[in-house]
Amino acid sequence: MLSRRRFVQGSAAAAALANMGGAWAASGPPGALPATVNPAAFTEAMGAMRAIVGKAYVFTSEPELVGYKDHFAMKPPEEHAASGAVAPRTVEEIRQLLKIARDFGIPLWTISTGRNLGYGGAAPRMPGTLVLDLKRMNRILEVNEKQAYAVVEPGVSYKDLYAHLKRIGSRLWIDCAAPGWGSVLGNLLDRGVGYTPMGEHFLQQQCGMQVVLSDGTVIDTGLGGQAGDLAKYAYRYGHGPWLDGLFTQSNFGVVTQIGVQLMPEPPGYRPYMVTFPDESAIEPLTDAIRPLKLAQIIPNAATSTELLWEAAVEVRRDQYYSGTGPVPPSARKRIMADLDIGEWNFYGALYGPKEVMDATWPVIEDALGSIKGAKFHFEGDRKGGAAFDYRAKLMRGEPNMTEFGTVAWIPNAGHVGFGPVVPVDGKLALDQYRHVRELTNKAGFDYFGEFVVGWRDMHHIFMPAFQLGNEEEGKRLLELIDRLIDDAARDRCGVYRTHLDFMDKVAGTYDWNDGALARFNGKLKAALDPAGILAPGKSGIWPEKRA
Amino acid sequence: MTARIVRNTAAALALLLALSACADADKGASQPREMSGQELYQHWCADCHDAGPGHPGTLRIAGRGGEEHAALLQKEINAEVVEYAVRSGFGMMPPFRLTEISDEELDRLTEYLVKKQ
Repeated sequence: MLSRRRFVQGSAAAAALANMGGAWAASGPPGALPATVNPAAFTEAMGAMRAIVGKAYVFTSEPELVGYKDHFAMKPPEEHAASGAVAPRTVEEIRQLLKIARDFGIPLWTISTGRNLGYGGAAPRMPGTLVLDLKRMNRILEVNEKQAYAVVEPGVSYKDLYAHLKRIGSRLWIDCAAPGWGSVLGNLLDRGVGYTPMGEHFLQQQCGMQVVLSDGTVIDTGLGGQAGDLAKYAYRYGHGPWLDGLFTQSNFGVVTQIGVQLMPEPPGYRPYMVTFPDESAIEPLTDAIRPLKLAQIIPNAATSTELLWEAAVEVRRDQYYSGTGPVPPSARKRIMADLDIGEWNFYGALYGPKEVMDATWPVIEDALGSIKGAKFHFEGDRKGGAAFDYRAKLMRGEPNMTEFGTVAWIPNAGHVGFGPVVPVDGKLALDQYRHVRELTNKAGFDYFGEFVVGWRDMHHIFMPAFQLGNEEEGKRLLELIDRLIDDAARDRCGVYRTHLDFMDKVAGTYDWNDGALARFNGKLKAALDPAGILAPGKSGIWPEKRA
Repeated sequence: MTARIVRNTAAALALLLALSACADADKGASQPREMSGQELYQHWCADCHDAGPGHPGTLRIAGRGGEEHAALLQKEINAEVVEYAVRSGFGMMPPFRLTEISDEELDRLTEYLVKKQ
């Protein structure tokens, strides 16, 4: 059994895989323990943890820890190498593990499914941190068809929940992130977005959490504070301060359950796409979207995707251009013609009874059709096209992995996310797109981006692909993202989510009033986790002794 | 026209309400179940490695060896390759942890991919 866990660079299997066009993941020893942790004490603590979860679920050897590295790392793997991992199954096991962590001063990094590739995956911010892997907590605890919600544990992926709803004959829809292997709970805690009318996940779906605090206390938030409350998963606030936001993108507790409000399957569904041949179209397009979203005439998360993102789920870069640097205009024109797509490609959908969709459509058609070069596409026109097909699935909450094609663009690739948030404003969108693309192209990378309007804001999601294991390219990409964060802060655009490598940097841009927000987060950290064991460095929040 | 829209919309919503009321008693908690090799393939691999457009793993492998044998179920593949790719990852494919795919599940998945049945 152990042989399978062995990392086998140079084996026959490695050679066979290399022939399929890949390269091995970066290997390396477990992360060096923090100076505050004595190696003998760590060994003793691992023994105590094995007694709680079973010896099969404490991992400390190099082969077992390969999956806890940042597979898309830009820096050498030791920068985020875990010292080990422990995988509990129950809340009670978590409480006991936290006691050991407190007693031995061992820092823990919590993951749900660990599939947040592009932001660090399963790897911890601080090297030597022990990963608290909650993938084994994968129960769907409840589905309430009448009130349209589910209650899930951290290890439940979108795909798991979708399959379960199908299995029990539910007529509820989920809303998923683009890669379907992500955790429902994990994405909510990271404040991710989806593509149905419930696409603003934390705002529209989250209702009630169960959280284990650093001292082992278990709390239920909102109405869950009252035992057996009937509206626990219908009304999220309860009485008094609403705490749930404190446990998103933070290190103040370990969230072990979450209520997820779902969408009843509508009587009708019509996805559509509108393409625009000019790159400047993002300006009038965004201005046309704003009133339609504010009035909820476009009910779902409205997405404007740039040419190469759209193309990369169907074709590879080498089919159009084999040179270095960004894809040139001549190749971009051929891609547009071959795939019948635009420089910008807008996706939306209608939901509801036929009469409602029929009544809404002319308003959308008039608004978007007035933009130069607009061309409308529907399901019947795009049969066999991977891009339209996966967008149509996402807008009805059907998980898939097609968008991962953006890392199939070049051989042996990873990607990293950069996500500034701006108001829904055409000039802002065009200026930001042009600026990011110019810097990206200068740095030698292709621009991969989209603008997603959940309701009143616009996420600019920029996910450039780069070659894994190419130290120089990784360094160049780090410099690019570093510059983009600086420029976004200068232009008063906050980044909503970031990779491990940039958590301190982004937190530092929220510096109004001499960093009052960071100081407040520090006070919360000291109060809620005085031992400083939970996820040191998450979102730039450090325990006092490591700050 | 407006009256018809309202009438039909009300009918559609009434249908939805009726369907949801029927299912109210079903609390729908999941039960652990063992998956066969084929089910494991469908759960973990098919979205990236099936044949046809929209499968990123297939798209990438086709860049090296052509479309014909790019999908996993079209390839001759040995057990060692499957096991090491799953545990160590390669290229854009990340490794899968023991908490995601157990060794026993990997045995069943590997057997399915090697024998294609």
